[in-house]
Amino acid sequence: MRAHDHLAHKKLYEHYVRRLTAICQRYVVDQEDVKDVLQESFLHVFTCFSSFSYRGAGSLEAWITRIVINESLKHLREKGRLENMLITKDDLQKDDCCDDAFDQLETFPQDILHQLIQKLPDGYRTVLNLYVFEEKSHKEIGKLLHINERTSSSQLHKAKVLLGRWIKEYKKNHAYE
Amino acid sequence: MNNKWSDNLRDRMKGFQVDEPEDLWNDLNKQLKEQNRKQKTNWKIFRLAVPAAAAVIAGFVLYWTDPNHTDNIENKNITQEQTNNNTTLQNIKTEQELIPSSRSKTKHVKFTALNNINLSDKQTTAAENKSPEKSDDQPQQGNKETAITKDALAEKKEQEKKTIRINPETYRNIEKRLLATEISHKKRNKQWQLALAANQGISNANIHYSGFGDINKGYIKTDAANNNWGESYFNDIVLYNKNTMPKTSVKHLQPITTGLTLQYRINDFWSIESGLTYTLLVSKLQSGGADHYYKSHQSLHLIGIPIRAGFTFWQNKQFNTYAKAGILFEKCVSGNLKTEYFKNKEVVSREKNSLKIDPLLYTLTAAVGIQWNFAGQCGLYAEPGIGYHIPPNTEIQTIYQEKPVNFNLEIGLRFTFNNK
Repeated sequence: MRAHDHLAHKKLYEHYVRRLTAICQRYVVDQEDVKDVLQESFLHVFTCFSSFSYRGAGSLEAWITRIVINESLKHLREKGRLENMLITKDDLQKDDCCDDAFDQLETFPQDILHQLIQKLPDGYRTVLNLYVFEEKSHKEIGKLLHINERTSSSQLHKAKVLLGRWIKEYKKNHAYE
Repeated sequence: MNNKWSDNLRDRMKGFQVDEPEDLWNDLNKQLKEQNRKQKTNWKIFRLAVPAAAAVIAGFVLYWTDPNHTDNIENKNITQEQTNNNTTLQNIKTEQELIPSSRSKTKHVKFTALNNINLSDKQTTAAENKSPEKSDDQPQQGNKETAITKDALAEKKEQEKKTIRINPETYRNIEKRLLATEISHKKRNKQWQLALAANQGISNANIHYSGFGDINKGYIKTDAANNNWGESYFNDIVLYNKNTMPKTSVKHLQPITTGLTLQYRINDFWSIESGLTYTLLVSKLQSGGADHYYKSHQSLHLIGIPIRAGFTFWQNKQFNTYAKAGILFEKCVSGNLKTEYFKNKEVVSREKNSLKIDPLLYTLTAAVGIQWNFAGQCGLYAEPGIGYHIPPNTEIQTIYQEKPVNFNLEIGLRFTFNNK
């Protein structure tokens, strides 16, 4: 019984771990913390596999991803990283711009983009992750992070502006033809 | 708000992967093993402690509520027990819920909470549509990137090599295979069963002799001529019966046992069990004549631990037949002897002494049984059997010495627990 389980676990792990590490890093950033969160997540996946019901291709990945995100948010909450969102400091210039920074991203290196996202302050980054990658509404984000919709919207905007600025800077410094 | 930027960002990062943290798999494995070990130990302790307490309580309740022990106590004692049934998926589902895993409980709650919020159909279908595309996009993008940035060139190549190219077909197969593995595991799981039972011996023993006697000492030699009135109640009764034929009759009643056992199923055929039992041994005596006599009532309380092995020789979904053999170790924890003296058929005096059987008692047991699983994890069973009580080195007489070989019938309920 043990050997069978073990093989299945290993296969599952190997198939998803790199993808999940990327996702977790976007939320949690710190290397040691990422390892802890992933470990907790996989443990949950292995022990709660019975509560998963197969709903077609992609449902397994979606389930496992949700677990990793849940664990990541839990981790951030416990470390008090999500408390700074209530303070909204206006240290950014009031440019509404930046939509154009996100045009033609096909040529922008993924790993650089990944690093830039990780550079964002905790609050901005978390809201951006949930809005952009999990496609949650501000209402849903508000419920998850215990903030109101307006705070969520404001954090997202600030994240977008900051990230957009960095992207433009990088493009300028690494111009190619 | 225009979401094109969001879509662009998301699309760009689709399928992005990075190297896993070092030693993640090893540490994960260690934690898994640790967790499994802890679960088993906790469950074991819990299961032995609760039934043990329940058995002792049940035994005393029995004793105090029914002085005449030849009743059909089997019917009264049938309560909860474990059963042995691991062949249907439906059972597997309910069995899962019994497993105490505090970690999974809390996580499960959270998971559903997130699920409720994370909603739209858009989300799920989008996710499903993306996955087949992901793998196709990657090699294309990989090529473009290496052409472009010098800095990231080496890194990009590394990443390409390590990218797992799994097409949708294989991916679906992996999912299905994992699910199938999980189900087949549950079917072949080792099981724990808890049984609550009542057991009664078939034979009692009746002994008659003339003259006066004692349950344990047997025949008492008396000499009416040398007795004086008023010395003791016993002597008075002897004098009363001077001109009659006094008789003694002793009755050792069938032993009644109740208990809880825990059974561990090793494989489809063999199982081992142990548990805690309570046995009551009662003996009665009446000695004297028709009007002047004394009566004694002896009760002994034994606590026992059985150790048995079981062999299943036939089973289907509903029924299960098996044979069991083993040893029952018993220790007498308390006992008393009450004597009442009657003159002219009326009680004039009462005496009570406590007594105990000191040595450990051994009984060899063998039985065949049939179990009917009337509901999922519950089953009713009957086990007629035979026992041999190894004669103990004691002066106290019980049915164990009078009838060392005795038939008995055990009836009970069994509950089955599955263990992951």
